[in-house]
Amino acid sequence: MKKLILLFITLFLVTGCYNYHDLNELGIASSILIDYTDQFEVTVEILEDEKSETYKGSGKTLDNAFNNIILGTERDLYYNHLDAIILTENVNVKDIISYFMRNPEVNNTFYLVITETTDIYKEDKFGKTLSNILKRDNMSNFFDITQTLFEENQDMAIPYLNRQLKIESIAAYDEQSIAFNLSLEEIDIYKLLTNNTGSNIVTSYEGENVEIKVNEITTKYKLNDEIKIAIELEASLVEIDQTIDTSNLDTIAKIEESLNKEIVKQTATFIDKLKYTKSDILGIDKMLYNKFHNLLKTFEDYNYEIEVKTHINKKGLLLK
Amino acid sequence: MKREFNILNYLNSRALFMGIGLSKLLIQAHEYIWISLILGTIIGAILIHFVKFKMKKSLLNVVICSILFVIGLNILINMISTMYLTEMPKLLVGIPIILLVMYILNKREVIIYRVANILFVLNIFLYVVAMLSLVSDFHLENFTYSNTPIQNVIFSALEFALFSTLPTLITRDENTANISLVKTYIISAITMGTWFLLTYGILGANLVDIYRYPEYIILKKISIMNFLENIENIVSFVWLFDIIIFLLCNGNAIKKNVDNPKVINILLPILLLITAFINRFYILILYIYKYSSIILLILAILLFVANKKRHQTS
Repeated sequence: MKKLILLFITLFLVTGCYNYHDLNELGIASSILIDYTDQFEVTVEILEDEKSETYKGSGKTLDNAFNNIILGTERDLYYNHLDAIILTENVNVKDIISYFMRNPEVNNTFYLVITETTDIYKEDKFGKTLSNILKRDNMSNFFDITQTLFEENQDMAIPYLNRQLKIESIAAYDEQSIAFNLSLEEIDIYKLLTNNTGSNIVTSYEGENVEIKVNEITTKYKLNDEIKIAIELEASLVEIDQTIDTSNLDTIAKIEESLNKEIVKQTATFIDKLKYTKSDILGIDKMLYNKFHNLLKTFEDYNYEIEVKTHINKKGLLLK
Repeated sequence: MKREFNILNYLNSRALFMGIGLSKLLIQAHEYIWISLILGTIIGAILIHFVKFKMKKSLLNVVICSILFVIGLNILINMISTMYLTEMPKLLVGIPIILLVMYILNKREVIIYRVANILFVLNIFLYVVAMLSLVSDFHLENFTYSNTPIQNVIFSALEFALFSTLPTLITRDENTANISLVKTYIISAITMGTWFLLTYGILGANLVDIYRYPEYIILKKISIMNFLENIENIVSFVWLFDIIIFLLCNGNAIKKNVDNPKVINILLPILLLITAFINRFYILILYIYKYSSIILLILAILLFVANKKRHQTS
C-alpha cells in the first residue's frame, strides 16, 4: 500500500510537467532580425518541416516585441537551436547581447551579424545558410563576441551583411559604434593577426599573381618600447601562372619572400587604419595592460615592427 | 565501509561549490585562482587530517544540519528553476527532491552509500565527457592581469578549504571518525580545481564576473564530434548528484541526532517550506550568497565546538 501511495504521488509530482511543451507547439527559432526605429522591430524565422516561415512583432522592449509575435501564433518561441541573430546598426548591441545572455534557453554557439538591410528573408532557411557561411569562414560566434563586448580594453568585431546578402566585411567597433568596415583583404590580415586560419593572400611574382591559402598560423606579440608582431604561417599554393616553375626550390623561396613582404605591407596598412579609427579589435590594449599593469600608453601610441615567415608546404597535385 | 565512506565524501565535499562557491571564488581570485586552489587544498587536507571529529546526539547538531540542509536545498532548487524548470514554482521543484531524500533516509544507512556509489560512476563519466570536449576551448590568455589584491587570493583559499571540508564533518560518527579522507579529499579538490580552471580559462574575467552560473555556461559549448550539442542539461547533472548526496548526508545526520528517526519525515518538509519561503524574496537569496562564507564558518565552529566539548566530557 505504501509503495502504491508513493507511486501515485510520484506520478503527479515527478513528471516536470509544469514546463511541458509539445514539440508541435514550439516555434524553433533559426534566426532573428532585430531593428530599432522608435520601437523594437523583430522578425523571427521559425523552422518548419522542410522550409521556414517568418513572423514579425514590435514593442517598446525586446521582450515585448517577442511577446507580440506569440500573439499571432499558437506556438512558444524556442531559442535553443538559434543559428544567427542579425542586428541593424540602429540597435544597441550590448543591450541585445545582455538580453540573450540572461535567457537560460539560448545556446551560445550561434552567430551574430550586423546588417545593412532589413530585407533579408528572401530564401528559405536563411539563418541556417548564414550560420554555415560564417562557420566555414571561421568567424566569431556569439560567445566570442560576448567576451570582447565586456572587455574594457578591446573593441568588438562583428561580421557585416551587405545589401547583396553577402558577408564581405566585418564591422570594427570603437566602443559602442562602428568605426569602419574591414574589406575582404583586411579580413584576411585580421585572421592572421588573431591566429585564425583560412586566409587567402595574393602577391605578385614576376608580374603574375600568386595566391596561397593559410593552413597553420602562429602570431605572437612582443610588447616593449615598440610592439613586435611575429607571424609564422604554413600555406598551400592554390593558384600560380603555369610559366613559373614551382619545382625549383629557388622559385619557392622567392615566392615566400614576396609573400612575406606583401603580408608585412598589408599588416602595416591595417594597423595604421586601426590606429587612425581608434578601433582596438586585436585587443592590444588588453595585452599592454596585462604586461605593464597600466595603460599610460595605448595601442595608438606604439610603433609596430612586423616580421613574417611564410612556409609553403603544399602545392597540390601538380609538380610545377 | 572505508571505500564507500570515501566515495560518499568525494561527492559531498564538492556540493557547496555549485551556484555559490565556484562563482564566488572565481570573482574574488580571478587569474590567481590557481594559487587559491593549491593553498585551499593544502589547508583543507591539513584540516581533514588533524581535526578529529565525531557527531554526538545533540539538538545543536540538528539545528546546524538543518541550516546546511536549507542551504543545500536552496542551491539545488535555484539551480533547477534557473536551468531546467524555469516556469515551475520553486516549492514544486523541491517536493520530488524531498520525497527522494525522505525515501532513501527511511531505509538503512547503507542505502546512502550505495546511492553514492552509483552516482559516483555517473559523475566520473560526465566529468570526463565534459573535460574532453571542453579542453580545446581553454585559453591561457584568459588568465590576464586584473589587479586582484593578494588578500582576495588568500581569502579565496580559506573559503575553498571551508566549502570543501565542512560537508565532510557532518558524516563523521563513532563508526567513521577514524577513517582517513585525505586522499579522497585531494582527488576531489583536484577534480573540482580543474572545473575552476576550465571555467576561468574558457570564460575569462569579464564573463565570470557577470554570469550567475559560470560553471553551467561553459557546458553550453560542449560539442562532441560536431553533432552532439546542447547537452549541457545532462552534463550539469554532475552538480545535481553532489548536492543530492550533501542533502542525504545532512538528513542522515539529523536522523542520527534525534531520538525518533521518523522525525525527519516531518522536519524535512518543514525545511522545504522554509527554503520555499526564503526563495520568495530574492534579496534573501542574495544575502545567503553574499554571507555564505560567514554562515558556513559559524556553522563549522559551532559544529566543532559542540561536538568536541561533548566528546571530552563523555
